[in-house]
Amino acid sequence: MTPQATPPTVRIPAPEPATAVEELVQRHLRDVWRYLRTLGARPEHADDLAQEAFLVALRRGAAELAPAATAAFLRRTARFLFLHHLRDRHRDAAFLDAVDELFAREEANGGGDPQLDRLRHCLAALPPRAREAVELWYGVDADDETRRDHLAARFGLKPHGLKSLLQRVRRQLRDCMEKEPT
Amino acid sequence: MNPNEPEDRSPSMRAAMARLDTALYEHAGIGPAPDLEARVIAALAAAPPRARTWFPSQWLLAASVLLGVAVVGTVAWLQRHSTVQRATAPSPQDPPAVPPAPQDPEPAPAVERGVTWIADYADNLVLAVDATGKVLESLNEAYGVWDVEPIGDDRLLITEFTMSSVREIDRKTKRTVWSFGNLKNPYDADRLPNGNTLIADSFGSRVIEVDPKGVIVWSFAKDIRPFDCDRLPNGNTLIADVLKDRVIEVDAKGEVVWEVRGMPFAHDADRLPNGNTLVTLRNKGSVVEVDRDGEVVWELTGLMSPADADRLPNGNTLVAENQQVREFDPRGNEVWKKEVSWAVEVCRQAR
Repeated sequence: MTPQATPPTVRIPAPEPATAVEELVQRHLRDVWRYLRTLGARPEHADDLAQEAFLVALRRGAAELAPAATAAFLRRTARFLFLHHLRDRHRDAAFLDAVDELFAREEANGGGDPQLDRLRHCLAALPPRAREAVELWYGVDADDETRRDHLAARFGLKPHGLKSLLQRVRRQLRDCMEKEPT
Repeated sequence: MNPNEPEDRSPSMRAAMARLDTALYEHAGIGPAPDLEARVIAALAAAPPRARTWFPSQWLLAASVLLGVAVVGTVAWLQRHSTVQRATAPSPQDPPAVPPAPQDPEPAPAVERGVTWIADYADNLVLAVDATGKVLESLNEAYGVWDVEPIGDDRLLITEFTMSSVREIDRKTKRTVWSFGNLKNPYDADRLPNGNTLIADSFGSRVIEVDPKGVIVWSFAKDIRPFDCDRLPNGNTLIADVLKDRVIEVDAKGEVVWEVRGMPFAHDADRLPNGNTLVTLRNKGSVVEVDRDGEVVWELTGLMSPADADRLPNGNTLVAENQQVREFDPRGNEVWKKEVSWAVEVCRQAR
């Protein structure tokens, strides 16, 4: 009879507490990325620019500010990196300012995550066909017109008809999100 | 995606729709790269953030300044003299302006440029520069400043759009000696002769006058989005209203006593001594002077997103644009320039 082996003790290492920098990245990264996307950056480009914005802004002391100021500092840095990359610092300044203002208000209301929640509530309230159309449209490759043409056919529409439908749905969503409580 | 955009093509509507698209893509699974957070944290660990300093090495800067004194002095002398020459002999090539000058466009007299205060929105910075462009003073601890004005010789009033506050700062200690924060993204504030402060509470959709204790003693909030406001010598208030693309003058009772429409995205409006009004149209890249009938009597075009303009006592016009502040004579010739990252406000103070 073999002696019963003592079961090995497995100690699961407790996760190390996040550092201040990690917390800051976790808090702001997604919103900086959203901001860059809203300015017009492609997803992979937004990844790179967001990373660079953090490097530049934190080197200049952004981490020492109040959260709202840190967020604003990061956005401003991201905006300049984006325009610098385009080699066009004067591009549609009114639109860029409006995006700034919109994100400043969004930040004051808890950032982009509540906004995404609001969108999901509003999508849930759409008629099924409209919801399916918009979710599929944004889910396919934006550059692949063929796939989007197939999508239109799936709904029994011509490409232009699908775009008209989506335009109406977007307006509905925008109106809904403005009314949806934070 | 960009299916046919809605009819409203205003910047704010386009921004709202672009934001909606971002959220819809995110909902569909197109978000940041899954490893982006780890990448950023690793990159920051490899290049740890430094504390904010005003120069990588203050000793290095001091040495540079000392070595450059002679050069700067020479350049300053040359700039002062060449500026006057340019003003008297405007270059015909590629002038940035097409100004039917309202007054006899005599060459501007030699001027003492004094101190020019600039709010640099990109760099979170307020600067005071002399005629040579040399930085005399700076304020770093200011966030998203869209307006700055000196009060006397030792104070500054700044409007922080980002922080939704108006602060009076002691220039020597950099300490806040007065503030008002019950605001929503204001663009402009002025200290009045009676000690109160007039504030364009832009996204609070009101113009308010607050006393030193922070009590609102006057307000105008009739369907406006004010980007600029000035108390006029007659007691009325001039307001640049972006909501309705207009500039209005309202009396103490809140009645609109003067209005000029068709002023899209007016970031600034100043009543001039001759009774005309100078309006900065950011979207159009222009500054216009309109008379009491709303007729444009002078126009400066080809500007880069101007956010503020002041008519100087010598008849020149000082403009804050993206990347620079420029002074133009009445013919539209550039007679002075200071490059910055993103100027949104400028004012000139006699020394």
